[in-house]
Amino acid sequence: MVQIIVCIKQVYDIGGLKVDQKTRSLITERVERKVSDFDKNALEEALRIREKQGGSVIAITLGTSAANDALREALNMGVDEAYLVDVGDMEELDARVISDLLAEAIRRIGGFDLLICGEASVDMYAAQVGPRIAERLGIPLVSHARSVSVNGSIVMAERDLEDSYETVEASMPLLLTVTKEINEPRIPKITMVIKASKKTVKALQARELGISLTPSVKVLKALAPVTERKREIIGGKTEEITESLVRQLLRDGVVGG
Amino acid sequence: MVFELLRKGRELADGLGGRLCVVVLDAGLQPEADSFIQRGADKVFVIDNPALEGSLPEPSTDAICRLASQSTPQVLLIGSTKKGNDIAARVAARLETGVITNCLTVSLDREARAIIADRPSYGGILTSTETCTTKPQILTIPPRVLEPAATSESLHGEVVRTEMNVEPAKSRVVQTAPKQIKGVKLEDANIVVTVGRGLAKKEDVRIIEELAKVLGGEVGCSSPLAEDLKWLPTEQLVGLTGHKVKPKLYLACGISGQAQHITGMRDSHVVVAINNDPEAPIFQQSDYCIIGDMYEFVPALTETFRRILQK
Repeated sequence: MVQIIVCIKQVYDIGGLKVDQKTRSLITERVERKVSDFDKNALEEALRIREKQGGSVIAITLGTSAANDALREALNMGVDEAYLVDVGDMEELDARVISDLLAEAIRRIGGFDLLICGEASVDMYAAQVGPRIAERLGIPLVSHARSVSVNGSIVMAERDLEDSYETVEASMPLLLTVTKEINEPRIPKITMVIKASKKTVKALQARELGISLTPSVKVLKALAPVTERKREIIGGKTEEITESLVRQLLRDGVVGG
Repeated sequence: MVFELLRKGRELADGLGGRLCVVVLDAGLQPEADSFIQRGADKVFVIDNPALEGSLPEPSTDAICRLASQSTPQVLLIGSTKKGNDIAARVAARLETGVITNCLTVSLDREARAIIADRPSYGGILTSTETCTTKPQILTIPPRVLEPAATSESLHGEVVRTEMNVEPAKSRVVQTAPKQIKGVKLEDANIVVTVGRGLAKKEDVRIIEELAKVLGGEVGCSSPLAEDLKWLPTEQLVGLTGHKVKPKLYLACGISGQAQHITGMRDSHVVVAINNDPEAPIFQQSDYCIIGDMYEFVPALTETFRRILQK
């Protein structure tokens, strides 16, 4: 029996985001939100472990009430319980505040054997929150796992590192972060969605967790980078285009060196 | 990578009026300590403890935090590798400070004595300019972002070897299998040919490989091919969650140009894109645009290059 808590993040669907060309800032109106890709892999892995070993899966997220949609996705996949750490109108949250709040919430939920996170969020890709939570809770971190097997209280994971695949063995409690390679997240069937609709999200108020809410890292500005590119369309018949391009690249000195 | 951090570290230390120390967590690297002094370090700590070997972050976290409590650094620079980012996060959590990971640029605001760093956000659509307001300010920087420090034999400094007590990892590495890196690492390639969802079947990557071969380049791919379809290994993934490349020539074949992909190739010198869809965002990020079918143009280009380059 393994009690698992999965930390998920609701992100904008990056493909739908647009940039205001004049101000170089983000346009987020009417952009869909979803569970971050790697977090879905985390949920899926937790559910598979529960299927093999028994136990329970709790999904937790930090956000405003909009994040309830992300928890609903998790419930539809089959998690047993869902928690929201509600930050209300707080803006300017950094990884330190987020991970401290989640770690405290996890402490209050209690009784976990395994924490699973995505290896990073698909929008910021900072890869901070999971490892920070592990440190705050004083448990080992096994990151970038592309496969995991659980035997009693022992976890074996194959980590995807830059130059090698490393198999690590660790005892629970521990925190895993997972890659997209690890599994294919299930698409909830209608029966699952109906079953999940009976479950409600439990909310914890961030301000009541006794955590300092002052961020360490401040964002001074966030603008779309300016890219200088020629954007030259090469026209004509196929042979003309390829001939033209190859000659141009030779002139540019990037081929035939 | 150390030489790159040293150069930036020296610049920051000089700006802040402080000292630059290198912490070496692998006693086997002691012979390199002098080369760090010659590249700008005032002091090199070599920590001799076998518990520090390997890629588990906990022992290194302990070592760095013990040193930090003795010498109260203002800034920590760590290479942005998977291990480096794990360590940076754990150290930051223990020291109750912030980290800025995967920095694109690092500069010093002398008046505020604050380090300002840029990093990609929202999949790379935006560049976020950030600063850490607590000490130590921790930054992780990927390889090849900074220039390496030049060496000067006239520089002097102190090398200290210490056998520090470090809490060993509770986890255990059972096995390590090196990855077979085919050809040149993408980050070092002069020419990169990448393919995206325009590829209809896994076997067709052959046409991309032929083009790369004629050019003497390497093959890369976008996220859907590596992470979703798993037709190519993540070693060949170019993008936010994969490799950042800065070749002289970047050829994007059947790639739509999502922000996460652009983040990986933005620094390419010349970019060529082939895509059927005239509205594909890749064209905004390209120098030369071919609006057409990659199955027609990739083999045609291979032929043309072969003919003209082999003259």
